[in-house]
Amino acid sequence: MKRLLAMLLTVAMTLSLAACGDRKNLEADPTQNPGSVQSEVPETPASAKIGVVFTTGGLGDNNFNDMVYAGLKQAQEELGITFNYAEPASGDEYTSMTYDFAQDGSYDLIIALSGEGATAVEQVAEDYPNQKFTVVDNSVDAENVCSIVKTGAEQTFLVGVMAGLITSDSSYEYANEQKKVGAILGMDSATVVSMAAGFACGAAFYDPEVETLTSTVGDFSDVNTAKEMAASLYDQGVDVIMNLDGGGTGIWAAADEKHFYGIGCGTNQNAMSPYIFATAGFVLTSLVYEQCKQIIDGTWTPGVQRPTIRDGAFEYLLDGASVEVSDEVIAKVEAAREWYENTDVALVTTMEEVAGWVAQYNQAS
Amino acid sequence: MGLLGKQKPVYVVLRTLVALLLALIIGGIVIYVAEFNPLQAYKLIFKGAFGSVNAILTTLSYATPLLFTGLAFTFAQRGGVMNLGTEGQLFVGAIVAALIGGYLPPLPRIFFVPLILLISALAAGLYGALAACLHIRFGANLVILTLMCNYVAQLFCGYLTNGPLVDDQGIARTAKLPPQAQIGKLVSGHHLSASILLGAALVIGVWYLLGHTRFGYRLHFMGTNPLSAETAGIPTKKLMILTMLLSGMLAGLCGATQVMGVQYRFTDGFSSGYGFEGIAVSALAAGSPVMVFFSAVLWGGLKSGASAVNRIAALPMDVISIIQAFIVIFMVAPELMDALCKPIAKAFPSHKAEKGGADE
Repeated sequence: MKRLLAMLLTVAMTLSLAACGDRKNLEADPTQNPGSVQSEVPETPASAKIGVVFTTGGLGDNNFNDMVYAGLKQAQEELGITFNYAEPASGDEYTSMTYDFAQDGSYDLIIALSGEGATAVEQVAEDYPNQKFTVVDNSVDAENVCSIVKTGAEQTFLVGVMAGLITSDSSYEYANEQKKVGAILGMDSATVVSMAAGFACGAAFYDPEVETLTSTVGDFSDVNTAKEMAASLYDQGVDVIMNLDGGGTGIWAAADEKHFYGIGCGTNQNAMSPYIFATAGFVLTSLVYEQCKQIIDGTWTPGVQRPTIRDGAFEYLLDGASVEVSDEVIAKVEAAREWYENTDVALVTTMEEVAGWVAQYNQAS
Repeated sequence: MGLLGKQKPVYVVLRTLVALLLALIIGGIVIYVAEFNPLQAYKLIFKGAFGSVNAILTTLSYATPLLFTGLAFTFAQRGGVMNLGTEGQLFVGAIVAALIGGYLPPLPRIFFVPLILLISALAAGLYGALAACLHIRFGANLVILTLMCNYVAQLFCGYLTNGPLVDDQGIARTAKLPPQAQIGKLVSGHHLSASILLGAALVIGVWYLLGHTRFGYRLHFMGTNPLSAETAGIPTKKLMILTMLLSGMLAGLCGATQVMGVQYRFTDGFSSGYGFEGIAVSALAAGSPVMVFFSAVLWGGLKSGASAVNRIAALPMDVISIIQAFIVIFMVAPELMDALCKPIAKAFPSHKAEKGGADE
């Protein structure tokens, strides 16, 4: 045992000696420019310092957090900002870590994400009225907060148009003769329902007979129920299913068995299944970049932003998909986009309103 | 029975230090593998946890919930009751506090805050006592019962916040507490909640109750030898229910004070597992309520130091969880530690100072 202890100590000492050599320097000029990653970037006079608190999902989620990180990374390279981030493990920690950034006082902007972020900022912003905050996904009503709120319907409208065209196009192998498309909702929440409504509006845009069936799982992590619901939609004649269930693992599993088309959501999910032809993307990355730029320019303004298709905030993503969308379909989707951008029509946010919207605005020829 | 048996207190402290040192060495290897310099990382963690007044206050804010859950587990364990349900009990305390504070017409603050604390603690205590009753009445295994009760409480709260109580933005949270129901900040300019004072008072209260009252003696008796305690005329069944009630109340106060002092709402996922961290804190404190205070501060310090390093240098928080886990593993293996400490214990006075110094 004595030997064991001695050995452990030796190992520790050797390591600490070796450690002084090639390891990352954690203390690179801590007073001036803390952090190792940031210190390599040349500081320009106009540069800004941003703090971001990620959601409890943390970095590496292939979605929300990673998109924000990519936006900051881009701003770091192109605008020379510096940024520090925190990864809380719970809602309480989210609040503490937001306070930590605000207390520090050196950050030009603090970015907080989702409902957790909104809850924290609502309180911290009140205690630090001179600190600027940006909240993504939810809104906080305060003088020093800018909220970027996503309108779900905007995100899914264009892929809805695509789905409506593909379901009645016999040149697609798995399209049946019934004009039915579907959406699987992870949760019955306002944003998700709004996304389903936007999808339904899009699907019936060129052909009001295209019907959208929806199923709600009730839990984003319940893969089995999602799979059964997708299969059941297929049995009812649905041949294109929109994933509004996060990762959509259950839906892709059902597609493997039943052979129907899928549409991803959020970050590019096209590679997740050979049956996906597009993803309804949200350009969070460039919105975050834009926030950093506004801080540097001095054009940052508090208030609520609701990005739309018209601002280019939502894009359908085709790259990496195994199913190729024909040029005719894309041309018609682009025509729909042009129509939408040139009008001031608002999309509806509940399924009940879809029929009325379609009756008024459909472009059936 | 305490985790460390009947050794001399100095020896116990020494053994704790050795456990810490070993955990830090193993953590150092992990940090090294993650391509950071361990000594630098430890220095920054220490600075981030205790390096300034603000850092100490942040450490205390991380330690506050663990004080309550650490005490809750320690208290029950003294009576030989394994309360693994502190997580569920603190959820009950939190949701009850959020419901009373957020949805009922507020009273003046001086009555409202204590009233909410009392009711939510009672609710959580009864939830804990329920498990004890089921155990006594139907012979269900208490460990399994309390663990399962965690799921029931957490998922039910999740249902409430995602279902009937969801707010108009679709965020899973209850209504914001009015100022009358909020526990204020301890000092201005920092977010540390004043509930740490309650936690510190409870440390003294539990220490007194366990060590200096008839109730504490009976509890200890039941914990060491339940059969002879029963033979000696101690009503062990009643005592067990009472123990779970009080332990649940302590855990419930954790949830209630977090809701009333940190987020001012109940949010789904507010807890980072305070209940289970409380078990670790209690293990580190070797069953002593006073030591719970220090071990909670150490635990909080590791978290706040790591979050400071995470913020400025992207050191992953997971490293800290690994160190914490190893501290507990070494602490709960007294025989391993005895064996490791034997050579040091022999030459006791001269080596002790060295150990303490090497620890940093």
